[in-house]
Amino acid sequence: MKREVPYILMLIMIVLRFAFEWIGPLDAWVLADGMKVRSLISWAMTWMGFGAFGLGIVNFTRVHYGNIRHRREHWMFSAYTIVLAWAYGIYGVIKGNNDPLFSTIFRVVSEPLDATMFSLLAFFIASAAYRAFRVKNLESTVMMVVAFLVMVANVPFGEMIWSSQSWLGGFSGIRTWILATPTAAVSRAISIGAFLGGVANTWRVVLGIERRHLAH
Amino acid sequence: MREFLERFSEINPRIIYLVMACALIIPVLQPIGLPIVVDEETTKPVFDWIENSKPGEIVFFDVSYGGGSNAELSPQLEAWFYHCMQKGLKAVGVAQWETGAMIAGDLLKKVAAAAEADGYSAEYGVDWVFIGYKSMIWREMREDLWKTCGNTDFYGNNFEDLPLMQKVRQWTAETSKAFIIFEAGSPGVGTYLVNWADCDIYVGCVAVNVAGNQSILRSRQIKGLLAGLGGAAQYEKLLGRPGDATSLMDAQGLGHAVIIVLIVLGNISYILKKKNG
Amino acid sequence: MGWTRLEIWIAAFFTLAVYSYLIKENVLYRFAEHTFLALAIGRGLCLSVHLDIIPYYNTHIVEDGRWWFLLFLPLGALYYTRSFGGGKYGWLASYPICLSMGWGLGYTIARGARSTMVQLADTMGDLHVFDNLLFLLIWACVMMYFFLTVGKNSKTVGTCGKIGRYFMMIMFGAGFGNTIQGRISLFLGRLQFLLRDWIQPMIGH
Repeated sequence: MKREVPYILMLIMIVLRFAFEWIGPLDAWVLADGMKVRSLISWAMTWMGFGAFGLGIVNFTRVHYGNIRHRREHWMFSAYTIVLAWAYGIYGVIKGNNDPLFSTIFRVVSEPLDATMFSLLAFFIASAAYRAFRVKNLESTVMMVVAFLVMVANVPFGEMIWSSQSWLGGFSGIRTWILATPTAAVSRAISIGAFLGGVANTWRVVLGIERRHLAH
Repeated sequence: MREFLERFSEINPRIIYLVMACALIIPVLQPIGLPIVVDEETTKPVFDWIENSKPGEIVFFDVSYGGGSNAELSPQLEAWFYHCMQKGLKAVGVAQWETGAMIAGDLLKKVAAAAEADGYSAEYGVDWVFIGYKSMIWREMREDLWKTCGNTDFYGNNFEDLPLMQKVRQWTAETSKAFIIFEAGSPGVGTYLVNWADCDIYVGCVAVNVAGNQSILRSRQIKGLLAGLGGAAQYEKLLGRPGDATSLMDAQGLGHAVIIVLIVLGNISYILKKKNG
Repeated sequence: MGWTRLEIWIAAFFTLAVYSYLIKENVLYRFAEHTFLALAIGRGLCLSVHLDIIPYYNTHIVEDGRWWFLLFLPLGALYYTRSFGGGKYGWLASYPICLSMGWGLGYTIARGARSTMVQLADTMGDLHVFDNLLFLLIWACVMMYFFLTVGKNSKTVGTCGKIGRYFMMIMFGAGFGNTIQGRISLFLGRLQFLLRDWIQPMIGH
């Protein structure tokens, strides 16, 4: 029963939501105060989500507390992280997101850290460029040639070497065609393939073949 | 020389990092001002949308990116929002990412102040409103924007106190025919493709997502696309207001040149090693 | 920029702390990494209270009087049993999971295909234009590359799949070219901050 009851509830919700989306009069069903029944159920689900409020920070605390308790490597950083997370979070809850100190800490610390973490990728790509990108066969040659064309077209140097006013629209024109036709076609095929995979997985869940989300 | 080329792929990566960083210092400090070509298929439609809009029209925008995409998308947002204020449009902003809300919360005020300094009207609550991050039930905004957003904007103001919001009770094609989303990933434009299919959707995305978005651009599900920092530079050129994006394009070129040289040298090294067995 | 000198120095410190990772992983980098994580978690807590819970409480509960929404809170709280209930009570989390999953899946089944249908219609349209015909052929070849079970032994499907692979390489090459631009942009943003906002004022520029 631990698995069956939630599964049946899930099926009821699926049928209900499907009916609301496909049956016009059902979707238009409005209560006396003007709110749609579909919206009411959606908001009820939202309030259910609020019940799990704090799950992220609580779980995060549990993991890092485990590091501290067992004195794992870098446990002092775990202690620092827990204290800072709760201090910043509680300060924000009390003072609000528009508090000058709260938003200053975001602007001066969080945002630069976020941007810098991602900017490390520029160096890793430089490192990968000379160590990993090998033109070993025809396929990788095609990939590299196209990559070079697009890279040169993306920067002002490309316009200086082969102007967009000249034959074929220059590097810019070639890049536009590469993106608009073969790239779009492949991207569409991949997204349709992913969509079909998603549909298959959805029906696996609906039919009860996929049960990992149910009780252990 | 041959020995250097053979052993190039074994070079300490820290040296490459240093070369990369040093190569970009001068063009960042002293941009040359190389020509920027505007893409007629992607950037121009976004510009034309605002340029051809009438003063007083309401436009929506969605700020769905974080600090990691700040360098590419904030210049786009800045240029586009300034253009809206310049043309007298009324802009209403939302955010699917909380970090996007925090970034835009400051940035929009800065751009509005710059627009006012240049003589354009950019008063908060009258010319623009930023609703901010709302995590739930995006689709409900179509029917009742106020209730879905909890009647409160990002800065804690009640919608009742904002004159612009009196005209924006729902987010439909009647309220605002077109909107733009500045996205860096998921949730992003996918939220709108089904439920806002009757509106004109424009996208400002990071360069990484450009290839993936070509499909929906071709099917006209989106009408225009700003592609990364290059897209921002092109928009600044059309606007006649060069900013951060324009000044960084020269450095972009040099950065690309460094990568191309590294790939070529790496492959020469590989071929020479293979020949020597 | 509108920042004070102290704010610029703090941002520069954290920026360089992260870049120190390029030399070698070190204490400074780990400090910056943990700071980033802690602030992200704390910010999420604050924003969910002030941008979601409080406005929705004021709207739905106080103004509209729908106090019964609060009855769903304990149901959502059952999510905690997965982390703290152990083997004995962890199954209770299945209830909120299945309810919200069911509501979402119903929407996906009903509406999820619409965007894809638009794209399929576009793929098959205006085939008298050469570019569109070429588009369709490329699309078909790539789709056949992913046919792993149907037509496995067919020479046509196999050959078309091989051609599709080359077109996929074109897309990956284009994606790679754009990725380079994206990654370098991220670094240029930080470099511009360090040089223009941090160092230049120091040397009196």
